Amino acid sequence: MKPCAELASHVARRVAVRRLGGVHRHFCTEAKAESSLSLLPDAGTLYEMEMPVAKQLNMRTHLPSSLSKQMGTLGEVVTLVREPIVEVASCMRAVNKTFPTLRLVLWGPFGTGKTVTLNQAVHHAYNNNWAIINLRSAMELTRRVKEIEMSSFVSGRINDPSNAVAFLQNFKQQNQHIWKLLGELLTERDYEWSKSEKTLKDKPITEIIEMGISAPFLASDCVGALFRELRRHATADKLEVLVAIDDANSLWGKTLVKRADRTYAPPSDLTLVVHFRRMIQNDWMNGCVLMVADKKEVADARDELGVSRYTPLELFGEEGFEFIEPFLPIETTNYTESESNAIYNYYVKKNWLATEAARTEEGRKQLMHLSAFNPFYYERLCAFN
Amino acid sequence: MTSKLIKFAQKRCISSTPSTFNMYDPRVFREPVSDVNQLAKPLDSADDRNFLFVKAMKSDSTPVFYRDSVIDKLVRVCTKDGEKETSRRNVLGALEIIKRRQYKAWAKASDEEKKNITVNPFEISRKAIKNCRPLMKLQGVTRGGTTYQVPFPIEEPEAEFRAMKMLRDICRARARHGETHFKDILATELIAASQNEGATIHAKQELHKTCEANRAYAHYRA
Repeated sequence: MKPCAELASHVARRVAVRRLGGVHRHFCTEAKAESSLSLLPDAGTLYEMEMPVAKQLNMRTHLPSSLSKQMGTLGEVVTLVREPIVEVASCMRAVNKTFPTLRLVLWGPFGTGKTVTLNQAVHHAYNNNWAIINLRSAMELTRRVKEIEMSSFVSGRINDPSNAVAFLQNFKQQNQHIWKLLGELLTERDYEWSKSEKTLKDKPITEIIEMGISAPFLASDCVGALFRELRRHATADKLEVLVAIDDANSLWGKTLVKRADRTYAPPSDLTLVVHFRRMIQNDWMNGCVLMVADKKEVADARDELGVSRYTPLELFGEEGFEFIEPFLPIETTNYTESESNAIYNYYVKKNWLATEAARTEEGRKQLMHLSAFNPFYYERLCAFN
Repeated sequence: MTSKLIKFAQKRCISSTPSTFNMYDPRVFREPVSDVNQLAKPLDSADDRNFLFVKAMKSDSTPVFYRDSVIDKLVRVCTKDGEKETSRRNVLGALEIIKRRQYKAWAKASDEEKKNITVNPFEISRKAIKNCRPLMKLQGVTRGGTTYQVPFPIEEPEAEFRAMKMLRDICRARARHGETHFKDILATELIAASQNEGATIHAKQELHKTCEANRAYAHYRA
């Protein structure tokens, strides 16, 4: 562990512990007096994300499908503040211009809220006017590549125009709250994308984004340039950046991209994967990298009996694990009884539990135990009752 | 007459003998208790189960609070190739879709209209199946070399079964070649049937019409 990183994670841990102990929040506000972060509600309470914000943050596609359906039905996004998000928020509070980026890995069994926590963190970053780099799933970069192009910038690299454009559009949409600020940040040097297209020095970095969106064949390189500029400006304390990558272990996983000789390309050959890995490195300041270790990368979806692995070391593999070290693991767990009750009461209040039996005391207990306190199955059971 | 009956039985039934082998020997096995409240009480001293074996509980008699005999039967009727789990997922998925649609309508409605909207998907399905129940069935009866479609009266459980079968066949035909998902079309049909509309209700009325037209064959009921 590098000494600097050690210090950073140590401080973050301390903040997290203090925060979790529920002592008080003065320490955090002292540590970051000039830009005091808006605070999350206490663990165990429900909080609502306003609909226009959810729309801007593209929650419909980023949340798990059952929750995004719920969002359409109930017409609101209400999530439970649980310990992982409280810990993430306290780590985000510890971020400042003298510390290298904090790397957090959310891990836990299936259905315990890794993705939801990630999205809550994105919302928290929005509330605090951070820049948001949010990738819906790293698996899209490795397994769902529709078209490929060989890079003209580095030989042997494979560009992925459609995913790059999709990412840039998403970035533009999610960062509308600081779009003006991004427009004031200037590029460091000339970027020569092709013979005719250029972005000159001292132009706003939003021009890079617009360039990428309008010219798909340049988009992959634009992503790299954008990341480079964001890292530079974050280090210069112009803004804070949250990098939220779902299924991040797929950056070291299997790919379905074929090279000319019909062999599968390793992920390190994909331009976007390289750019995202570069973003995870902690050689820049004022940022927080939040990753999710998800078993989809390694598990067989049709295998219902096998117990799959879900710890960061097993999912990231040795190479990935070494790359992301040092990091803070944050475990997501099943509901406690009080948490499941909070959700149950919310459903009752919204009249979402339609059957008489589910609204009885017996129904409440059965819902809890039939789902084995797993948030995913709890929602599934409540969906038809 | 008797020879005719035997001929009929041979032709119509796949097997005219009762099953020769049962997993549970009826001399030593008894039905299990699956009601939770009854489980808490001690067995009656005269009960066979004090000293005999008890059969394993059926997978659809687990004492969950959302147990519903109609839904269980629908799951059984919709099962294909013995994949009951898949079928259950489909039917429960359809219930979820029904609930979501009704909930949206309910949330939009004014306070007075809200009273008339049922959100409970179990209630809607029960009502839908009830509306789909035919009064008669048609069965082929061979007389003098020609097979006549003869209307027969049916009991309530069979009517329920035939309603479900009609519903299932219509949904399966629609879901063929991936046009829609089975659960989507099942949900649409159930909501429609609960308001006496839709393809299944139409099929039921067609059946009634044919029964009416074949009234003259009624005396072939042996």
